[in-house]
Amino acid sequence: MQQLIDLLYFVVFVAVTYSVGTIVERSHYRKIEAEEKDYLNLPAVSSKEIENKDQIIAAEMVSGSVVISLDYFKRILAGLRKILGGRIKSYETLLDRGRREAILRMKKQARQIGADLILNMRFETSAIGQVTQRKNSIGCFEVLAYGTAVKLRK
Amino acid sequence: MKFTPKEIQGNVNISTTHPLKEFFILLFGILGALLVIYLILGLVLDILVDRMPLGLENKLGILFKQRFESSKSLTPAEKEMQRIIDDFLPYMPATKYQFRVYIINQDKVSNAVAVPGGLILVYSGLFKDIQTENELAMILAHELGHFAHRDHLRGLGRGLVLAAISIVTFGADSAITQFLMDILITTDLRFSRKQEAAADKFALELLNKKYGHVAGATDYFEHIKDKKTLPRFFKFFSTHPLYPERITMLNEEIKNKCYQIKEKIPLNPIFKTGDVSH
Repeated sequence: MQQLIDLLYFVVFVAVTYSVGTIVERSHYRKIEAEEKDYLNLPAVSSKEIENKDQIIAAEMVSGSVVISLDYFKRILAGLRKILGGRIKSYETLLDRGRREAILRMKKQARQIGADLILNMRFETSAIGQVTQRKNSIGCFEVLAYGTAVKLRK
Repeated sequence: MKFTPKEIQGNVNISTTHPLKEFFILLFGILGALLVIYLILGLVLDILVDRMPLGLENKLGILFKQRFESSKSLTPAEKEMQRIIDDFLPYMPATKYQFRVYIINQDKVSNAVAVPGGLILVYSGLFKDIQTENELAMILAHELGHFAHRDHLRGLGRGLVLAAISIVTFGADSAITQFLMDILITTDLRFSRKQEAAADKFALELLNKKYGHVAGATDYFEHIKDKKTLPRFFKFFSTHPLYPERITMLNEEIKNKCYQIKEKIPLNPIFKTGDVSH
C-alpha cells in the first residue's frame, strides 16, 4: 500500500514538473526569440579584428551571464539516459537557452554603452552547485558570454 | 564586405525527439532489461540455494543472531516455544539446523519470520491472536517448513539481487531505485505465495505427526482474517495467500489426507502475561 502511494507521488511529481517545465521553457524561448530580433542590428562575432581598424573609436569589454537550472523531469530523463549513454537530449534545450540568454544580456550591456559591434566573443560554461557527488546537488549551469564591444566611426 | 544581419530559422542545437517519447522508451527499456536479469538471477539462485552449504548459511545467520541474541537466557515464553519446536524435531526430515526462537517486542505486529541460520523471530503481537498451543505449533511448524524448503534463503537471495541491481545502476537511495523496487518486488511476492502454501502443507503434516491430529491448524487465520481484510485489488501485492484462501486450502488438505481433528491443548498462560520478551 505504501509502495503504491509512493509510486503515485512519483508519477504525479514527474507529470507536474514536466508540464510546468515545458510551459516555462516555451515562454523563455518566446522571450529569447523576440529579443534576438530586437538585437539583430548589434552583431556579435568571434573574429578578433575587423578590416579597417581606424574605424574603431572606442572599445570596452562586455559580458552577460545566466544561471539556469534543471527541472525534475529533465533530471530523471538524464538519469535514465546516463545508464545507456548517448545524447542527453533533455540538457540540450537547457544549455541552448542559457547560451542565447547570455548573448542577449551581453548585447544589452553593449547597447547601453552605444556599441555598434561585439568582437572576439567567447563562451564559458560551468556546472555549479555540484561540488560533491551527493544526490541533492542542485544541478544547474552558468553560461558566461563575453567580448569586446566597439564603437565605429560613422 | 557588407554585414547584413539575418534572423536564424530553426535550431540545430536541440534534438527534435519529444522528451516524453524518449522518457517512455528509456524507462520501459531499462525496466524490461532489469526484469529479465532479475528473473534469470532468481532462477540461478533457486538452483544454487539447494546446494548452499549449511556452514555458509550459518555464517550469514551470525549476522542476524548478533542482533537478536543480546540477552543470554531465554524468557519463559521463548523456552516454551523452544520446547514445542524441539518436540517437532524427531518428526522432521533430518536437519542440521539449530533452531532458536526469539520474541521481538512489537505488540502491533502479528507475525513470525524465518531468518538464515535457523532463527525464528516471533513478534509479540502474535500472542494476542492465539488461544491454543495447537495454533502456536502450527505457526512455528510453518516457519520450520520454510527452513525445510530453504525459502528463507531464496527470499534473501532475490532481495540481494534486487538491491545489487538498483544500487549499481542508480545509487543507493535514489528516487529511481525506490521506484524500481516497488515494481519489481511485486513479481517476487507473487512467487513467494506458492512457497507459503507449501510451508502450510508441511506444517499440517508435522502437526499431524506430533499431535496425532490437526485441530487448531486454521484457527489463527480464522482469528485474524476479519482483522486484515484487503480489497481484492491488493491480492497481487500480498506476500501470504489471503487468509480465507489459506483456510480453504488447509481444509481441503485436511480432507484429502484424512487428518483427524481432536481436542486442542490450551495455551500456556505465560504468553498472555504481557511480559514475554526481554
